[in-house]
Amino acid sequence: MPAASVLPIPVCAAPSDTALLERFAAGDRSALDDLFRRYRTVAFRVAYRFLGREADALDAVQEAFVKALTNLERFRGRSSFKTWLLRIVTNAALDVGRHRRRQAHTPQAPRHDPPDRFGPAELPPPEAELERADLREKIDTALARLPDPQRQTFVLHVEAGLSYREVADALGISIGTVMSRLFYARQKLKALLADQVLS
Amino acid sequence: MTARTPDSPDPADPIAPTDRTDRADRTDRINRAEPTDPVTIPPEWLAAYADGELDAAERAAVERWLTAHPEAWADLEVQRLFSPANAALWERVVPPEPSPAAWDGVRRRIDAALGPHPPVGSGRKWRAGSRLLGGLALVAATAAAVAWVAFRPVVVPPGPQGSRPAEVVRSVTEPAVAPPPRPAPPDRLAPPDRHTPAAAPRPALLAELGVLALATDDEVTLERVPNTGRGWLPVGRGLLPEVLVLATADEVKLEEVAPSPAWPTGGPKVVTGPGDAPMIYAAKLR
Repeated sequence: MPAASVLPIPVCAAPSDTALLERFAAGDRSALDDLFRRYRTVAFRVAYRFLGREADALDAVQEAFVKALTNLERFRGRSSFKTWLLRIVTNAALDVGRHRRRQAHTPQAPRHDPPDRFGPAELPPPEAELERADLREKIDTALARLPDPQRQTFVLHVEAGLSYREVADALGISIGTVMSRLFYARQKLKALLADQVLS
Repeated sequence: MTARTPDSPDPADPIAPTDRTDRADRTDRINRAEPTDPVTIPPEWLAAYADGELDAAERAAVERWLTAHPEAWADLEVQRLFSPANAALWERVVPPEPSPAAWDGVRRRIDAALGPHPPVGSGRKWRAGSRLLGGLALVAATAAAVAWVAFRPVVVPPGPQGSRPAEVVRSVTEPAVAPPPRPAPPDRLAPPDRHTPAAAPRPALLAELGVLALATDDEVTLERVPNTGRGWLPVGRGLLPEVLVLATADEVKLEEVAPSPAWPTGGPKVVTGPGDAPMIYAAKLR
């Protein structure tokens, strides 16, 4: 019996965003699956920073993907698709936030909800998770008190990991403005959070 | 030398009144200083330093300045605290990942919202989603194209063949100086009727203008601005269910344009930003 030979497994590079967008534009809905899986998490995290609630953040992500994919002709490739999409996500999150405030007449700060999920036995999460949730809420409450331009800039850079150039492209501002907004946003966050984060 | 304090910071957004801190300015600022000169740096450079966004010369300038101003280290620490590099903080506040079922639900709703997939370029539905700047109303008054928002589009009922259509518009903005003589343009620039086998070729009346495309051929006709005898408006071919809104205050800014024949007394220019908000440029001749 001949020895089994090891066949090299071809490694296929993931399709580029451009390729996926072209496939989607040509009617291939499976391309949407790839794009969605690729960017849903970062989009959710960005939206969550604005809204503080999973349900609202998912609404913003949904709205952003729909807007992006129905307006692809406006994406001219001057920035990456990720940058362009996240710009739309921040706008969608701001819209959802305003809509919620109009409905509920409550301040923008996230509600004091318990963590979004419990364990399978419906027991409250361990203390560490509660502490994380508490800190997350403090951060989100402080972010909510920043002016929208500073908050958008901060979230895109810190949460989405965009460079200064990418943030500038996304928001249509100069790098100097990105720099300035981040500087003053952080100073204000420090004042709002005092020792809660520094400890 | 000390760090420059922000100039008249706006409590809402204390950015520098002019974008002086772009790379060229930063380089110039460094180059003008002696190597041992601490250099005066804007405080926001500390943010870029904390985020690793400065080049070697700029980092050296910041470090020289910090050496001369040790009291500023506290400001730098604040920048580092809230920098993406502070993984210890951000890993603690990562939001919980939605469940697979939640993601599936979002995916299904996206599919439902997209509907049957149309080919690219076959048209675009306006989606009202945000509100115009109050100040944009001023732009609308002077930039005729913004009447796309203020006007209810008039449905032009199909008349009998040969009936005189409404006077139609040549261009969104028209230069004050009369263009060179040309054959009188048609009153209506309706898109070709796809249902008519022998549709007339679309006049290239807009070919000379650099306009930002807002709608497809299917969605507009061009009609003369009423009571002016000049200027053109894109008019939707169907009634909008509500006022079309374009952008939030964050998505637009108004800038003065240099005087031009199109704006003999000067005028505002709406500057587009990337994203989903459709914007209207003042048309300019190519």
